[in-house]
Amino acid sequence: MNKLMIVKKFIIPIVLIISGFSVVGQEAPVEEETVEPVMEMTYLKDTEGNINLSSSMVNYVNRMPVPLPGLEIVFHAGEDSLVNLGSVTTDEDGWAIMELDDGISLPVGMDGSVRYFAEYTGSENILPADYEVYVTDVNLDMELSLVDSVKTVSLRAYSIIDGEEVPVPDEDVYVYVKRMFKDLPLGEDFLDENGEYITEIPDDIPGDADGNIEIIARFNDHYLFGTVEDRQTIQWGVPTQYDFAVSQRTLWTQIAPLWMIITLSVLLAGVWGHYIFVIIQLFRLRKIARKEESTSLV
Amino acid sequence: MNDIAIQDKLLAKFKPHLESTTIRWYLVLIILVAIFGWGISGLVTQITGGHIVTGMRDNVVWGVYIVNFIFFMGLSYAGALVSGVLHLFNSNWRKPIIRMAELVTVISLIIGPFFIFFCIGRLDRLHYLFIHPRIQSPISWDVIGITTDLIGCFIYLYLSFIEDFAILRDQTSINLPKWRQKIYKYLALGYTGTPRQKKIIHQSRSLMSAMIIAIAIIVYSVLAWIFGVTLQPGWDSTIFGPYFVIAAIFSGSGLMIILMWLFRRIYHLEEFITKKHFVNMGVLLMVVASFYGYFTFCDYLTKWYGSVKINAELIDKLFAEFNWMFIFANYIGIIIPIVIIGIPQFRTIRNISIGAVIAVVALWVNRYIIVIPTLETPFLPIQDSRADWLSYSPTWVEWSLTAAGIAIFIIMFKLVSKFIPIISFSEMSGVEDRELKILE
Amino acid sequence: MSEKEKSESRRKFLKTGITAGISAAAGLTGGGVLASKAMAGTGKKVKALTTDGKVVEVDEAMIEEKATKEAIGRTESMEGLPNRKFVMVVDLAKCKNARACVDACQEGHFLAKDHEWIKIYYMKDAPKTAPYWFPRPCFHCDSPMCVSVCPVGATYKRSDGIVLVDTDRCIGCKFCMTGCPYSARVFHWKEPEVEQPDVEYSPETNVPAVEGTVGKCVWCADNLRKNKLPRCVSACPMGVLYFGDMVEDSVTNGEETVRLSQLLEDRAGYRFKEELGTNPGVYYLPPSNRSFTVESGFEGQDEEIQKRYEKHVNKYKSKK
Repeated sequence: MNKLMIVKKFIIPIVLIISGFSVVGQEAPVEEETVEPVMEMTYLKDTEGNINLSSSMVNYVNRMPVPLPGLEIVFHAGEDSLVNLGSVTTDEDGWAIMELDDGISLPVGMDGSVRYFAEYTGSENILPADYEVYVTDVNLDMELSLVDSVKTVSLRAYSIIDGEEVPVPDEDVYVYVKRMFKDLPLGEDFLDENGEYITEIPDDIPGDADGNIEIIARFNDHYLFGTVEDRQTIQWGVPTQYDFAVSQRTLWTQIAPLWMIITLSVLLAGVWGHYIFVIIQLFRLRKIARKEESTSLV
Repeated sequence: MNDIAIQDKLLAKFKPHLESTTIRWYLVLIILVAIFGWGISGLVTQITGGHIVTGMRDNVVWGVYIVNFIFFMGLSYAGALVSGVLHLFNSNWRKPIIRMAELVTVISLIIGPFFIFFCIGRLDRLHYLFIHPRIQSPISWDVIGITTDLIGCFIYLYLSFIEDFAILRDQTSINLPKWRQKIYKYLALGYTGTPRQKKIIHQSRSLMSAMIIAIAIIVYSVLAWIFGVTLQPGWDSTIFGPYFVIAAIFSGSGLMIILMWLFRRIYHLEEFITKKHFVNMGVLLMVVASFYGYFTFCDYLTKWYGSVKINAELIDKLFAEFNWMFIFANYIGIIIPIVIIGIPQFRTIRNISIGAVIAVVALWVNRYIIVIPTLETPFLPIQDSRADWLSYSPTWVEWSLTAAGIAIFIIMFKLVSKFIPIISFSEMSGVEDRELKILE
Repeated sequence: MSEKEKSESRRKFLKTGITAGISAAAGLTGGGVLASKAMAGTGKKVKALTTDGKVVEVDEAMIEEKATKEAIGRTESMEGLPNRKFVMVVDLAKCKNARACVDACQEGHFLAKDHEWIKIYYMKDAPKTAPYWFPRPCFHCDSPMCVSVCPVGATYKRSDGIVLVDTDRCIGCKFCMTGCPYSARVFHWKEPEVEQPDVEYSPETNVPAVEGTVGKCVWCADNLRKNKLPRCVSACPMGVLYFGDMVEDSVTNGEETVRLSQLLEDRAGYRFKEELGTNPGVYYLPPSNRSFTVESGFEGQDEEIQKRYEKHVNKYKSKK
């Protein structure tokens, strides 16, 4: 009873006073309403075989998503016994990316999948949120080769069960080329019974100045495997050089067309030349008058 | 009547005006200053409240201010035309009126650019036009042109003042305060009428008059090209350069007639400004009116005949919403001056002056229907719910500044005519190769 | 602490500092420096705009230095992104006047509700043709009239195709507004009604706005520097707007990525009023095979918005 009284009498008022100060100390009013965040998590196994768990926290205001930065997200793996993977704070875009170390041991479930779990424990005005995904580990290898001078991409997907490579058949896999904003799809199909897929890519894909392009093979947010990628850069693109010569002489560039400059200069020189001549004449007039005045005085 | 006698007569005529000012003069000045003050209050409203206080909106971004600018620039043609061209032709009848003409030029060239300033969103950055110019832009051409024109016309005006300043410096019949005498002496540049001095002035004036004509045409064409080079319907017309020049000559001659009538009345100059002057200027007005009518007809005929949709839309708008303005500017404004002056029975001084007034006002309306209907019919239709964004209607701020512009025009005339007579003595007396005798 | 945990706590520490609103792309290395900065805050909070276009509250001390390093000024904004030529494709077959593009643009650039950089028109080309919705961003023309007529060089075209406005230079003569045949530019007729963030001005965002100057769509040049799509493109729920780079021949609407040349060939892409010769950078795909009626674009809209189109809807109806 006593302890309760202490809490009621001291700690709560102190907390209220402190929070009151923090409100006063700030320039702009703080949002008082509780925020219900929406959390999502995606699994990515990148080209080096590292697993990345990306979790995003947004709050929908007027149907527009507003990212929530500065929140600590804790990542776990496993179902009954959770393995703590670490925690990351969301950046200014609301993303918290957890990169798992290579060779970390993850508890595998009965069906061969690993349960990844991200959680935000909540704060005074933000409600807690969590998200889970079940992902089966798979390996995706891509080989780029010229077969009869046709640019060929060969994919092979396999999982390792008891130390042996078991091909993964009949799952849809995609091939892309990396572009500035989103990747451009080049091919898509189901893997055959050997877990393989072979496709050709066209000859006219623009690359960088040297003709390099980055080819990506990917399981795209697969229901079993998550997102698994293999990327390779190769000089299979068309070299590009975009030359918008800004120093050209046009109406809309920095430097005017030559004829304009010449015409204007000639006109101005001609007109102002005459003006200066007349002004000089006026000064001469004064000089003459002064001379004649002095001679007449003599 | 010999030259000295003419000079004496003029001196006597202007003596009362140069010596003292009447109460009436001050009264009129006060009214004009009040109008000017109203305009300043409008300007202050605009500067503090932003351009939203005018009628201009996102599509009609140029309104009455630009119309006034073109109008005032057009008035400056009086000087280029009457003074310049007639100087080159050496006609005698121009002599009483050249000073008025040259004054109109300089004053309207000073006032005109102010209307551009009112239209500019950031007045604190006006100097960027001079320190960061882009010579591909017609506005830069305009800035260069108007500056050149103004300075040229000013030099020309001053050249015509020198001899008169000398006369005023030397004469004793009019009592002038010492400070004025000093100014006359300084500005006269010690002119005493020697052959050498005469030659210098005569040469310079001929040179400048040729320059003025050329510059005036260039400057006004450049102004026309501000509209002509754009892609907007109605403005994208090859005829705009000459069209604007003709319209300017038209308004210039109209204003000349009005000024002649006004000064004739105020200073009782019936002897010097006769019916002959009115008829000659009137004939000029008539000829230019015909040309102007011809150009207008050409422009609109070709637009109307072709089936280009956006031109058809513009013509429809002109005949619907701008109907009475179109009729006034392009029918009444052309036909009435031609009729008045063409028919000998109508050729009285009063009628010709009325014709000139109608012509000048019609030209202001003409500029209005060149600028605004085009901006109201863009390629992509204006789809807005607010009436003031769909069509333009000037607000009191714009009218007040227009009135202020006219008021300051008249004020400047009043002030200058107090300082120097409105008819050029030296010109009238036409003293040739004779020394100016110090009058006893 | 294990190596990993140490690096994590350092990362967390860094990220805490960064989440005060500064972009991580600035290349911070001295976590210690940042920490001391965070401690030595003035306590005064200001609203700041991150380079992503979000308004956050930051300690004033953090803004001063970073803002001056971050804001892309005039000289830098005149340099386009190397080896890029941006292009936009608008699929008229999918637009139903959802206006999410207008809203996203206004929000991202702190524009008032009546200040639209991307406008949706209700168009009907001929008496017998079907009406359609026509989103019109700035076309970023290759032969821009607006740039040609600007007397002070306040607007310029850069090498990657984007035409920008520098409102620090703009004198508000509005010649560019009469020069543009597509009515793409708008003017700040009064003080901006929406509160502008306290950041250094950048022509790539046109924020903070200045009264008496011209504004227009900038294809979110600030986003492009970070390989992010313009706001309207991301916001469109129908996937109407495609954006991309002509040099790498690829455009995307956020969901679908296609080769530009293929898209224009398959769907008969064209440019609006090609004959004017301004060479716009925006291509349109004709409104064929629409799965909705054009009238559905009026449903659910504010009365004021519906009123805008009334006059033209009636006008087109009467011209049978």
